Amino acid sequence: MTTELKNNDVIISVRGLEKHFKGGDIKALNGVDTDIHKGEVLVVIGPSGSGKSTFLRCLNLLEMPTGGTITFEGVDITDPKVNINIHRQKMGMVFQHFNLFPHMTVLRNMTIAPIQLLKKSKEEAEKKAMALLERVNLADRANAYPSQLSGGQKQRIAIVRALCMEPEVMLFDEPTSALDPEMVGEVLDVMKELARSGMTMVCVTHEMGFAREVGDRVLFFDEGKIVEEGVPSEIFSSPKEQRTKDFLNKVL
Amino acid sequence: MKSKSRKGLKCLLAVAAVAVIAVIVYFTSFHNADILKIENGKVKGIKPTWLVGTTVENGQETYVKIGDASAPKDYKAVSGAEDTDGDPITTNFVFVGKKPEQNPGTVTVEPYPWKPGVSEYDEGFLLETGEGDGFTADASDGELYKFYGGLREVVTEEERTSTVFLASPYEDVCIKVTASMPADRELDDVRTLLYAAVQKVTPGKQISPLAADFKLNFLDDSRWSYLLNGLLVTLEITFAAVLLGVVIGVIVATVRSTWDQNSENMHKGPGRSILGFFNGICKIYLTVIRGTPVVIQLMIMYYIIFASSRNGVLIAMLAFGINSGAYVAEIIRGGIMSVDRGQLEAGRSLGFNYVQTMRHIIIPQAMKSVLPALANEFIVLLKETSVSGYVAVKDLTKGGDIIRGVTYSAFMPLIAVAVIYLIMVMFFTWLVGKLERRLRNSDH
Repeated sequence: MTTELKNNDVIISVRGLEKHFKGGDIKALNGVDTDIHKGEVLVVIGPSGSGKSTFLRCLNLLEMPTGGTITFEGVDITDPKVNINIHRQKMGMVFQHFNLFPHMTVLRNMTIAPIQLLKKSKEEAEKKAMALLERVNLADRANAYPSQLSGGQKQRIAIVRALCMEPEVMLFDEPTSALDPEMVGEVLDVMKELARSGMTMVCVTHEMGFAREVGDRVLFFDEGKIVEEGVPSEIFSSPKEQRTKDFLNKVL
Repeated sequence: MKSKSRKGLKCLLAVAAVAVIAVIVYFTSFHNADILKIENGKVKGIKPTWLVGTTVENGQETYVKIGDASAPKDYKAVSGAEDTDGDPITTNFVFVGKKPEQNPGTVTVEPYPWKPGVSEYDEGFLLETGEGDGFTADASDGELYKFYGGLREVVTEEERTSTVFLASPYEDVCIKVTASMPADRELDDVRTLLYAAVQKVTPGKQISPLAADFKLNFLDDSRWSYLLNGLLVTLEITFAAVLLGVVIGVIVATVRSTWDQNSENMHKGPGRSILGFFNGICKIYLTVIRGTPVVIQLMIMYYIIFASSRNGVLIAMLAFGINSGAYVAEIIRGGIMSVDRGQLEAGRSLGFNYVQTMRHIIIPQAMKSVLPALANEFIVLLKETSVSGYVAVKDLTKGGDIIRGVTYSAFMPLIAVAVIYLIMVMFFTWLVGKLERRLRNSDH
């Protein structure tokens, strides 16, 4: 049950999120509370091991939280009775290592989910896929296999593959971390265009420039908790917490 | 370097060929030469031959055998000239060393009642056996028996005989050939006479034992059809078993790998319990099937489980399929585990449930990576089915057995069956190689 959300309505609500590994010894997330609004571009930063990736992966339950709740479009998706697959269709995810399906062409990569899950016809799905490929200037690679593509191309394909499912929110898990520097730009361009078009995005990234340009809010994670949050201009120029300062000194 | 050693080899071969030809020419060029020369009292020439000459004493021609070319004192020969005093003149001259007319000996060739399986008759051995190469003496009747390479030879004061039996089992014919000569001739001559006769009378074509064996085992009564039909049955069973094995293997592998990878993360509930239950069943299946010989499984299926049915081929397909499934399951499970976990995550994050993700994304990739291993499993199965004969299935191996039972000949059927299996394995191995190469080239 998805109610029509107006901009700035809360689309994802996280309360008391916890993730323990190995029976409680490792606390990857130790109580996280935040609201994500429709149309918002949320940038999540922090040192490695801070739990930022775990946080992101909990949002679509790729990691199963051990405590707390996540409410997506009004539904508590942490409830075991909920069919998570339906809700995942509305959340697109882009991975650090692309995770394109190597045994399918680019076009098939993009259309398999809409055809199987959204019950779209092949023509419909392919039409939409081609349109998206045009947007990222990769229409000519529609029948190529992922192994024939460069890293930047693969990641752009991964983004539009997720977009084929017409999600309400896009989750990015360090999308440019595995790319050669010269390809980072083309991927960030796609993400920026996506942000400007009004897509709700949660991005775990080290690309501070991206955060500054299109980010609406920045979350700084450390040791499984949100240490500080605010608009990019505030966080980057005048961070309040010492840990935030230390981190930003290292990366900026 | 390569061309140099090749050149050297060619030279060596040429020299060897020339040498061989030279030797042949040397020996054959004297073969028909019956010309002797006497120089300085010594005879030059080849092997012993007869010397024709005259003695001075009585002017009659005397035939003298040259026993040893270096002992000329055994003979005396003149050209027939006399000097004025009437004394003989000895001089170098050329003899015509032809063997004089002698008793050529007799050869008898007569049919003999054929006794299959018997290699020794009262008067001689079958030519093929070639047993015995020594002497026994039976002094009581003054005869000397010599067994020489399958011949039985009798030497008496009056004559020498050499007997051999020729048998052609596939034509059920037996012939006794005897050559005999007066005692003044040598046994060697008797044998020569005998062999000449044998050449003429050998029944049918000059068939080698190997060719006769082949005909007996495969051509007679179309016995090769046992092998052909058996081969078809073997292939039938193998293909069916592989298919069944793959189906079982995919299911079991999916259950096992799902449990291994996900059981910790699952909500405790009915879903997890059911999966746990099936996982347990799979583990039992794997343990039992991999822990018992396939022959026993086959026989249990045939004699116990499906005792009411006597359709051996179908039961064999089932048994080998179930057996293969256990091994294929582990192969595929390895393949599934080898697929990057990110593939599963990507599939799930698009909204596919676990089964859909496995079906569209994981298993296709897993199958691709284990295809060579599966093809090898097919080749293994091909050979494993050879025990189907245990349950009255007429496969290739059993076909060979049937032929062996009819012909009492072990060599041809067994070797032929082995060769056929070998050819098949080599063929499918080659196919697998092509497949692997194709996969590697189109690696995506």
